[in-house]
Amino acid sequence: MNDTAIGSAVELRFKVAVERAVRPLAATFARKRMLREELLAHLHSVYYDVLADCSSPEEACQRALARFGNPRELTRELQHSVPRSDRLLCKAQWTPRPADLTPWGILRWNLVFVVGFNAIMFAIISVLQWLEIGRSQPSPLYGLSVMALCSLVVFYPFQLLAMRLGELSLGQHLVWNRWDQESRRLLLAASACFPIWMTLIYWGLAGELTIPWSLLWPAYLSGLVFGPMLAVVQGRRFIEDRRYIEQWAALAIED
Amino acid sequence: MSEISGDLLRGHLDALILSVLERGDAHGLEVLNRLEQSGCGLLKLKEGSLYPALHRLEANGALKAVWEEGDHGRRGARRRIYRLTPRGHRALAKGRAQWTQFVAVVGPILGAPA
Repeated sequence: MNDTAIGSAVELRFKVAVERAVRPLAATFARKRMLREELLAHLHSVYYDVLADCSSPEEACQRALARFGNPRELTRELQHSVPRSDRLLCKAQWTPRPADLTPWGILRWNLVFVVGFNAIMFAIISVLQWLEIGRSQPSPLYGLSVMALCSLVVFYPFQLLAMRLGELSLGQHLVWNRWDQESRRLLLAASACFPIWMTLIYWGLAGELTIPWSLLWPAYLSGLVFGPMLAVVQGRRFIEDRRYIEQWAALAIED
Repeated sequence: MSEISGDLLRGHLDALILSVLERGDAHGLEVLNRLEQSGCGLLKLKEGSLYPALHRLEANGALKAVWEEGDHGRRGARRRIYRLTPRGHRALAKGRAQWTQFVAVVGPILGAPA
């Protein structure tokens, strides 16, 4: 048999088989994505394994799909391996639709997420601070508004720019290499600290606490450095997500 | 001899997978192939049984999975490579001990001692 790459018709049939198994699963977006990629790679490997013994790519495709089995059965089996936490999380998770994945749509969702997350963190910090100091602090709403403003000023223009650039590169193949994954973890960890930095800044501005400059400047600096970096990484991630969702959601999986 | 599949493998599948991964890291299809080769073609395992078992073992900490880096001249999507962890080695030792005990107890009852 010749040494050709998988044709688009064969690739489509493989993707439909994978999607039939994965789409009905009660699992998080990330788990489904992992499953799709793993099962598709499996079909590719089987296809290339049997291709040499087949008279045509069509025959190799049929043998690969026959070996893959009934996607409905695979769904049932896979569902048993989905952890309970994952099943619960998927109910609360917002799964973006292709229509939501415009720069403005993403921006809106991120605004809700970041402001909400910061509000929760700030509330926790405020309560802890109040308990420790034993007297009420200035209105938390003031601090919240400062945080939201800082988030918007530092984070969103960069994210919008990153997504616009990402849109321009939609035709190109972006690959997440190891550096990307590591930096994403680092930056997500940094973003989790964002409310703490903002609280430090707020306390410093309100003059409620005397914070040494040696502690404040890393907070300012890291906010200014990590904010834009996180925006760029998130922008790229969402563009990749959009391409990914468009590709799989378009598949008709009905028999 | 007839093929061994489905329910006959259930209960031993985890230990079988751990055992073939003891020989070296492998992706899902390679695990299937190793099992079939080791079983002289008589072991038949479907993807529907393999991947849930691999994911269960990964969730238990017996396996660690990483995405393949680079295509190494290979065609197709990148694959997930499974590796035995220290906990997996311990689970395999336990699985072997359980199997030995199972055969020692059930074999004489069936009139087919090991």
